Amino acid sequence: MNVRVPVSRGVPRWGASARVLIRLAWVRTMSPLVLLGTTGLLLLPLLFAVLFAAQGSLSGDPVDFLVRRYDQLVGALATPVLALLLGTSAFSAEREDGTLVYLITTPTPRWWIVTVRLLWAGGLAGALSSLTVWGAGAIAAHGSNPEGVTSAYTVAVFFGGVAYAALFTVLGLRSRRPLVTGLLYVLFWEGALSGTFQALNFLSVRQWMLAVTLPLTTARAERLEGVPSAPFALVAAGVLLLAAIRLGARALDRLPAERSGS
Amino acid sequence: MTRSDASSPAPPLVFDQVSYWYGDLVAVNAISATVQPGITGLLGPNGAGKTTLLQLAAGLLAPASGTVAVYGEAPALNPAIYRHVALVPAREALPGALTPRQFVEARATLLGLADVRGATAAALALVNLEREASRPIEGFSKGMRQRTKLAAALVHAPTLLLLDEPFNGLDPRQRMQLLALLEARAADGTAVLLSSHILEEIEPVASTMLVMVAGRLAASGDYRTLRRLMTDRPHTLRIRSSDDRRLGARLLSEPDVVAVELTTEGMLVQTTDFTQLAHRLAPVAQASAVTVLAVQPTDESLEHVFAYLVGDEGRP
Amino acid sequence: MTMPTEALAPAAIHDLGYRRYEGPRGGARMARRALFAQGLRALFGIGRPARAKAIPVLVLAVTLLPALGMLAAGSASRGQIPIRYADFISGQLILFALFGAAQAPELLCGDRQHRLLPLLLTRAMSQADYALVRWLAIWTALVLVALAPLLLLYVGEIGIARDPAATFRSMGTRIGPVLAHATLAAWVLAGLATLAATLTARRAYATALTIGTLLVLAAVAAGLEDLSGIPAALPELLDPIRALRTLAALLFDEPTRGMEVAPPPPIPVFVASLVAGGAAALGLAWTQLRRVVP
Repeated sequence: MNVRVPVSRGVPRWGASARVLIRLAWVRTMSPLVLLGTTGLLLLPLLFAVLFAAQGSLSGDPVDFLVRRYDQLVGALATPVLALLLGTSAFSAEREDGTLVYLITTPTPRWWIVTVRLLWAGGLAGALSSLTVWGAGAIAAHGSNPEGVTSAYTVAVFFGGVAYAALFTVLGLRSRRPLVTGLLYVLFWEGALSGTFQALNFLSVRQWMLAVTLPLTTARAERLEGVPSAPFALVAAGVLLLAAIRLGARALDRLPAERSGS
Repeated sequence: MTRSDASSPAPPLVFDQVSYWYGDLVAVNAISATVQPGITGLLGPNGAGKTTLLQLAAGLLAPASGTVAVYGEAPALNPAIYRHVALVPAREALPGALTPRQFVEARATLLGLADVRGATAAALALVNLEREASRPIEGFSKGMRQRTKLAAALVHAPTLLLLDEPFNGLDPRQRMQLLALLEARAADGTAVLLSSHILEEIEPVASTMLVMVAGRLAASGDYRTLRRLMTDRPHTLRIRSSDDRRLGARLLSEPDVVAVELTTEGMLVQTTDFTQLAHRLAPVAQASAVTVLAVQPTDESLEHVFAYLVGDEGRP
Repeated sequence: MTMPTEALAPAAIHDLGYRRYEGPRGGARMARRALFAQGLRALFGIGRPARAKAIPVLVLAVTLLPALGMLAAGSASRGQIPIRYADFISGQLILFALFGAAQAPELLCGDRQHRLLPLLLTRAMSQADYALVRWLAIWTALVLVALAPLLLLYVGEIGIARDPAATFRSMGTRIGPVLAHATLAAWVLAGLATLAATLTARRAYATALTIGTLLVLAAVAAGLEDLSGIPAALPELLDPIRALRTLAALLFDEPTRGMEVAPPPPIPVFVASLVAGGAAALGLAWTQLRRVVP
C-alpha cells in the first residue's frame, strides 16, 4: 500500500538536525581505543597534580608548576589531540566508506552540517580540557587559584579546543589522511618549526591559546617575546572559524566521487 | 496523486550533451536523454559510466560540459532538489551501530520532514523491515542493508528515484519484492532510473532503456523497438505447426527468409524483415494447408540487443 | 535447409581446468624468506604505485639531505666545522619514528584489511612465523632508514678529508657507535610501531597511536623533571626519543651543556632500558599477532 506522507516543512529543522548530526558523529568516533586514549590524556595532568600535592612543601611554587603542566600536558597535548580525534573521525570515516552521501543528499544547509559538528567537537574537547585544568589546579593548589592561573587556563583551553576543532574539522573534510596531517601540524608546525621561526607563532593555534591567558593572569608575563597578543588571537581564531565553515561547506558541495568503475 | 512538481511542464530528468571526465578518462561522453515517470533502465557493462551518470543526475557532480536538469533546475550545488530526489548508492556501508529505524529517522530529520516517526514507520513498512527495525545494522545481510538504504531513500516519497545497482547481492525472491516495490512507485508517477549490468534483472520491468557503452549512449528507447530497428541483423522466430517441414519449405521461397532450421521444439525461421513475415505467415500456412500452432520471437531479449550494441561499438 | 546434426563421436569431457603442481616445494624457510622480502619491499613502496612511495622517499630525502649539507659545510670549511653525529641524530630521530609510525600500519593493518591472512596462514606458515617475519621486516627497514644518513656521514667524513687515511685512523672506530645506535633506535621504534599497528585495523589510528604515544611520553618525561622526589634517571629513560638522544651524545662523546650540569646515567643503563622497552612492546605485539585468525 502506498501511503503518500506530507513532505518537508520547507525550513530545516535546526535543533533536531543538529541532534542527528551529533549522534551520527558520536557513533562514528567512539571506540574503546578512543575512550581509553581520551581518559589517559585527561588523567595525566591530574596525576601530576596529585604527585605535586603529595610532596607538600617540598614541591615548590604551585603557580610555576601549574603553568608548566598546563602548557605541556594540556595545551600542547590533551587539547589538540582531543580536538583532532573529535574533529576528524566522523567526517573522514564517512568520506572513506561513502556514508557521507546520506548527509549530502538532503536539503539541510552544508554550512549547518559543518558548524554543528565543529562546535560539538570543539565544545567537547574544550570542556573536557577545561575540566582537567580546573581539577589539576584544585588538587595542586588546594583550590586557591593562585594568580588566577587556573581560571585563566580554564578559559584558554576551552577557546583552544574550539579553535583546534575548527582547523581539524576542515582537515577531516579536505585531507586524505587528516589524522596524520593533524599530528604533523602539532609536532612540526607548532613544535619544531615555531621554535626555529618565531614568525610562525602568529599562525599557531597553540600560541593563540596561550595569548588568551595573558590578560587573565600575570603568571606568564616574563618569558614572552614574539608572541601574539590576546586581541590578535581572538580575531585570528574568529577568522579561522569562519574560513573553516566556508571551506568545509564547499568541500561538502563537491563530493569527490571515487571511480568505482561503473 | 502526484506531486505538483511532477506534473509541472519540466520533465523529471533531462541530460543535454552531458560530459564528465576524471583527468584523462572520459567517464560520460556527450549523453543526451530524458527520463520520464516510469521505470527507466540504465544498462551497460562495468566501467561504462553508469554510476557517474547517476551521480551527475543526483547533483553530486557538476557536469564538465552540457547540462543536467531535474524538474528544470540544475541539481549540482542545489540542496533544495533533495526534497523530491533520492539516490540509493551502490556502496553497502551504513552506520553500523544504528538501527534501521534510527537511521531512517535521521534521514527523515535531515530531509526536514514534519512527521519523522510516521514517515519512518511508513518507509520501513514499504520495504518489509518492520521486524528488524530495532536491530543494529552491523549484523545485517546484504539484502537487509539494501532494504534499509531503500527505506532511507523512500522516506520522503521522492518523485525522482535514482538507484545504483540495486539488485546487487539480492536473491531472486528479494529481487521480485524490490521489482514490485519499484513498479508500484512507478505506477504512482515516480520516475525511477536504475542501473544494472545484469540484463535479466531489468528485463521484466524497464519499459525504457538507456544503454551506455564506454561513456557513450549506445541506444535508448524500448528494447523491443530497438530490436526491430536493427534491420541488418536477421530476426529469428520459432514456429510450431502441424507440419514443420512442409511449412518450412514454403517459407524458404519467401524473399526475406534467410534460413530455416528444424529442431525438436519447432522450427526456427530467420528473416531480415520481421514485419513482412508476420504478414505473410498466415497466407503461406493456409496455402500449404498447415495449421500454425505457435509463433514466438526468440531473440528479442535484451541479451541479444545488448550483445549487438556492445559488440559493434561503431554503430549508432 | 539445415538438419540438426547428431554427435558423430562418443561424448567426452576434457579437464582443462585446475591443474595441480607436482614439482618440488620450497617449505617453511622459503615461505619466510618470501614474506620477509615482500614486507621489506612494501615498507619502502617498491613495486607499488607512486602514492605508496611518498612517505619513504620523503623521509629518506629529509634525512639524507642534511647529511649532505653537513658534509658540504665540512668540506668547504676544510675541516673547521666538525661533523657532529649526536646533533645530527637528535634532529633525525623523530623522522625515523615517523617512518615507522606511517609504514608499519601499511604492512600489518593492510594485511588485515585486504584479508591476506587467510592466504598466508594456509600455506607453510604458522602464526608465529608470520608475526616474527613481519616484525623483522619492520625492524630491518628502520635499521636501513636510520643507518643511511649515518653511514653517509661516516663515509663522507673520511672522503672529504684531506688525508683520508689519517682521518680513518682517528675516527674510524665511529662505525661501531653508528651501527649500535641505528640498531638500537630501530629496535625501540619498530617495537612501538608494530605494537600500535596490531591494536587497530585502521592505518590512520595506528599511526596516530604511535606518534601520540611518543608525544605523551615526551610530555610526561618533561613534567617529571620538575617534581622532586623522582629519581633523576626516570625522565631520561622514560621518553625513548630523549633517551636515544642522550645515548647518542654519550656514544659519540659530544656531551651537551645540560649533561655536564646533570650527568646522565651511564651507557649500559640506557642500552638496557631501551632494549627492555623495545622488548616489552614487541612482546605485547607478539601476543596480539600470534592470535591472528585467517
